[in-house]
Amino acid sequence: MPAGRESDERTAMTKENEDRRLVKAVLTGSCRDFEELVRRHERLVRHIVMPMAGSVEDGEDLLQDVFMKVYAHLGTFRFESKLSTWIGNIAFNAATHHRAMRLREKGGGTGTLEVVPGLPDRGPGRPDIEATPDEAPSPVETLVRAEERRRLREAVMLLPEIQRSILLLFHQDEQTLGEIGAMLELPVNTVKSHLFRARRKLKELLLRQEE
Amino acid sequence: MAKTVHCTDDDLQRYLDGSLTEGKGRLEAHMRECRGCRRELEAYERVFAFARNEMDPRAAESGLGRALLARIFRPRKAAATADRFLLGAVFGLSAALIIVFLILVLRSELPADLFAAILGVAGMQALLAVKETNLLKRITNSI
Repeated sequence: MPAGRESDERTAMTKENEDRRLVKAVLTGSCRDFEELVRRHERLVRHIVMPMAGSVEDGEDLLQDVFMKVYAHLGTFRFESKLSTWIGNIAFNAATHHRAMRLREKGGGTGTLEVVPGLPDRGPGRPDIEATPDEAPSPVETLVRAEERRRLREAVMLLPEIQRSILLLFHQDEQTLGEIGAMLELPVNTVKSHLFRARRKLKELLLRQEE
Repeated sequence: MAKTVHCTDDDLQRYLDGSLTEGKGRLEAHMRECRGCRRELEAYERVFAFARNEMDPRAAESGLGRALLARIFRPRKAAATADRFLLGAVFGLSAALIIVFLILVLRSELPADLFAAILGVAGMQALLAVKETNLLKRITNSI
């Protein structure tokens, strides 16, 4: 077996054991472990519910509701999937239900995309990805890159919500296509197709900008 | 002259996410020759970097866990306090009734059999109240 794969499997095993310990501790009433569970999965849940929430406020409420559901149903989790996949699926179902209710309240929407300010601006103090000590960008370059990021952020907001979630889950939460499929109840090929289409749209935007 | 086959979007994305195994060498060789495909690849590299690092920067501690714990445990504590108060009131009232009846019997103002009947009714009422509101169970759970 290649060393890399062996190490991946070991990491997966450690994660599963850690999930088991965490679930057991939360079920015995450990507040600190519940906080840890929330801390570990908050981003993932955020990446699923925010694009579908309709507003930041609704998204925050939804986020809390998801973890309340997780807490209430943790005893039914049977470790047939990763804990993150199970929580992601709860988040997806809650977000889908919320969106259906929202559309019904609006008098039956078409389910088309709404621009939701779900993605925060770049946090303070984060290193610029293009900047390295060896090749610091010129002020003009920095401006161009900042403009590029702004446009990319805008373009991401215009992606269908499912594509936005998949992009975040794949690149930021490092979930596999299979795990995303299990969370969002989609076939792996559909997940892959959404991911590829989203990235292609962003790439086309960059190329158009250069012309 | 052989027709140049350019890289597809699918190839470029798979090359960057590491899932392209077959044809990787051919793609790299083509990249050295084709400026257009290289430009496309560079654009994808920037998209991947953006998605990985810039799309949603890691947030600082949000305190969501603590907020949730407060939401989970506060209503339960409040309910337990209310239940204890209600239970105390029910038993206190029953005790007061019994004391009043005892005083009346001792002062011979109430026949003993009537006292027994009233005492029975008061006791039954207290038990029914406890059973209906399921107070004992709720208190046990909340402790």
